Amino acid sequence: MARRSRLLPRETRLGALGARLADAEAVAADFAGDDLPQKRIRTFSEAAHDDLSVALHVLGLVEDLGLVVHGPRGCAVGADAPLERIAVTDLDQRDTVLGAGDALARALLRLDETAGPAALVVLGSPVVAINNDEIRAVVAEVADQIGKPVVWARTDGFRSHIAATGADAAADALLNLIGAPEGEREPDLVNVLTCWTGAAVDDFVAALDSLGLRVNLLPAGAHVADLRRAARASASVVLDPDGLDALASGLAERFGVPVLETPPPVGPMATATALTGLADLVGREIHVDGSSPPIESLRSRRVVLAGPSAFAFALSDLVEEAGGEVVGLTVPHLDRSHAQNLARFSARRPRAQIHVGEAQGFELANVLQRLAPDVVVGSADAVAAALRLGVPAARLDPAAVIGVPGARALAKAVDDALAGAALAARLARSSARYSAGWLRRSPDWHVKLEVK
Amino acid sequence: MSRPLVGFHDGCALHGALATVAAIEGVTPLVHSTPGCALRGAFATAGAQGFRGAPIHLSPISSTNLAEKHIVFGGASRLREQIKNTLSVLPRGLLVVITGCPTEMIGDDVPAMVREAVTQGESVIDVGAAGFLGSAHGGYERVLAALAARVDELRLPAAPAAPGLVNIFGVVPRYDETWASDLDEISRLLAAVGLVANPIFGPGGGLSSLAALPKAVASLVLSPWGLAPAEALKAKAGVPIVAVEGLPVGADAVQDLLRRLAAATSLIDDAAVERLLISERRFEDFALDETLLALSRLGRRRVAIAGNSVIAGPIARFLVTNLGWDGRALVLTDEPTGDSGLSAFAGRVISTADGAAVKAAIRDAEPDFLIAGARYGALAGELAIPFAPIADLGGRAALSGGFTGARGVARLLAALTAAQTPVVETKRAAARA
Repeated sequence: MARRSRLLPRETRLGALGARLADAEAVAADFAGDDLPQKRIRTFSEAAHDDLSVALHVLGLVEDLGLVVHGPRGCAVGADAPLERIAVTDLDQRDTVLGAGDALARALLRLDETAGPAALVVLGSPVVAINNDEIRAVVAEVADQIGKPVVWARTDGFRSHIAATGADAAADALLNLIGAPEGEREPDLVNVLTCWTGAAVDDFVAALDSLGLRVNLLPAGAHVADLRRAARASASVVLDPDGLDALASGLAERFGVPVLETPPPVGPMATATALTGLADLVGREIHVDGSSPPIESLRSRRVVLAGPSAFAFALSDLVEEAGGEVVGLTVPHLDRSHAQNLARFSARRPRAQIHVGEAQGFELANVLQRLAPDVVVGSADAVAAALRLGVPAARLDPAAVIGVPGARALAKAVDDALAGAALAARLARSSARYSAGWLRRSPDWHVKLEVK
Repeated sequence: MSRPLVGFHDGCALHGALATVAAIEGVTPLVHSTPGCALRGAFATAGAQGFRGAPIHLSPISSTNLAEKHIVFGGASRLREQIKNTLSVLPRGLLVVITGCPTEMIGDDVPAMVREAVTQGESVIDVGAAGFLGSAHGGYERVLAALAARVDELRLPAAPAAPGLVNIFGVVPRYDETWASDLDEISRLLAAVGLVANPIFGPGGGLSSLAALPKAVASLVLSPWGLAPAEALKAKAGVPIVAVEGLPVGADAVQDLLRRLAAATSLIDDAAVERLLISERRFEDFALDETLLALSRLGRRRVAIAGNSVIAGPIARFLVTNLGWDGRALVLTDEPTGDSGLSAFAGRVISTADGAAVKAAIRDAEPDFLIAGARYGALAGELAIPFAPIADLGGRAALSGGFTGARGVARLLAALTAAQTPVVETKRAAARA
């Protein structure tokens, strides 16, 4: 079998940045030209995520997929997926010296026996990547032995500093599970690619149902058979581009399933755009009211938004439509796939601060105390950072703002944050998590251009 | 030779070391490893968040987040940079450098980098806790043994005199889910007889707690994982060791613990002990009276218990010796080595961290009642038997879920009598269909 080329990290494939702090205009300029943006690194960092964790999360969403992490026992923990579908080879010190191909085969066979999954995926860890353990041959051998698909998600924990590279590795594995295309194209079948679930997602699916379309939701709640159906769909729409763009483009490249090029359907206007676009793509007609009513509590409020990058840009549109002023975005990473949204945001708010860095609380605390926004909305860690500085804040998970009712969810989050400001006032009295010296320094003090 | 684990939920040595260090106020963990290593452990003890953002329940975790170039050319200089900058960004205290698998494999000279900082007057120590060295409980053992053995090198602020100080070892923060609540109750019990607990972790611990370790009159060891640090202190400062078999669940266990401490320290006031035991027994009697109707309704149960050795064994002992229940199986998920001495309280005692093996042991025991972590609720549903969770997945058990003393028994009885047979969750896909 020909050896496939190494999975490209997001830094190489899309010029991804994981460390940056500047105003929107400067960050947009990074991605305006043909050249990749200059890579930046941190000289101080808090613990960050890796590709293995993200791949584990994405693959764990497929309900009948068995996951084997090839590494020490700690490499397999923390996932949302039911534990009975996850195995770990539990490498010890001897294995790090002598290799552990046998251990991988044993783990695959044991998980197949105990969980009876439809297919199995092996995820690599830093230990086996450093040791250069053979995975491909073991995978092929076990697949033959058990008569089920077994694929390899090429994660290693250190070749990329952009955790979303793990979503690409997961997408590659899922696409390999599909194998060769089978059956005819199904004109009324649409893939909705999402890692998020909940009532808002269900409502969005119902809207597609009303168009007379059948929805193939994946990977969240999907089965391996649904992956194979995905190759026969007439189009894919992506709710979570940062996690699933690679799956969508893979379905397009390998199986000819076109992707609806639209931002995530967050709120009425974006949802109308997405549904109209999808209807056009599959030759249907639909009318969706895309008007977004103003949110009184947001009027003239200075807002910071935190969350997955594409989602944060989509949410910023909704906030501004509703009358708020976005003064800052904090996102895990930026890459070329965000260039268009970034340019649009920059044209509207050139001086707004953009903080790029996941789980880097020291930068976030410093940025937030300087921006002193009226409210912070979005991910749990940003909300916690804001509350500890005395800034009202509320969580808003992407799954809650999908679709037309997203505007209502945003309004409720902002109303609750402002009305519940007592929590922020109380937490601000707790001891500081960062030194006073650090909070006086420039928040991008530890972000430096990488010297080659 | 490694053996595959299915359904494994605890962390590795690095995760246990990290949880241990992060639970000591004033101590900053610095993980020298690749990205992901630290956060997987942090999220595992808090309930997953889809691996997004930072774990908000922990203080900041400094990490070198090594890149491929460091794996190829070495990461020592990156560590030097990170130590220096950690000291300026995070509040000063003690910095503990914890090394992960990649740095152990590439052979970074971590002690040299730490020595550089120490020679500049900084309080820094390194602990090797690569994940491939073992379990999270093993990581606790490693890091605490290192801190105990090198406590006088740590440049800690002098500890105030504390007559009757007793070090508490063997309760692993976050991995023993009721840790904070149990440490708090142990502290209350010791205070009632004139002793002062040194819990090290949580709001009752901190840097001064570490500094005071060698000044204690005894080290109370509550699980096998506390033995190594206690032995290090005994060798270093002659602190005697009092080892008991897990947390004292119930008044009888409290009495036994105090008797052993009294023998080792001769500092306990007998009258105070008697007053405490009377109070504990009254509380336990009250709890039994309040739940007797429900207990009689439950009847004598054939129980399977799965959990860490610090709590699962003591619960089994209480149920057998005080309620007359039939201990069918006891599964120790922290995998302690050696004889647990618990075979009198369960027909079968096994030690495994493998989730599939835990379930198989429970099934084989044919119990009609299950006590285990919340993650085993579905199994109880499948077996159609009542289920009493002894911990939850979100860390809240640490605040109010402990089982120490008579108050712990009251919580245990409340959990037993409130136990229900879980409804097997309908699969989302089935619902959609």
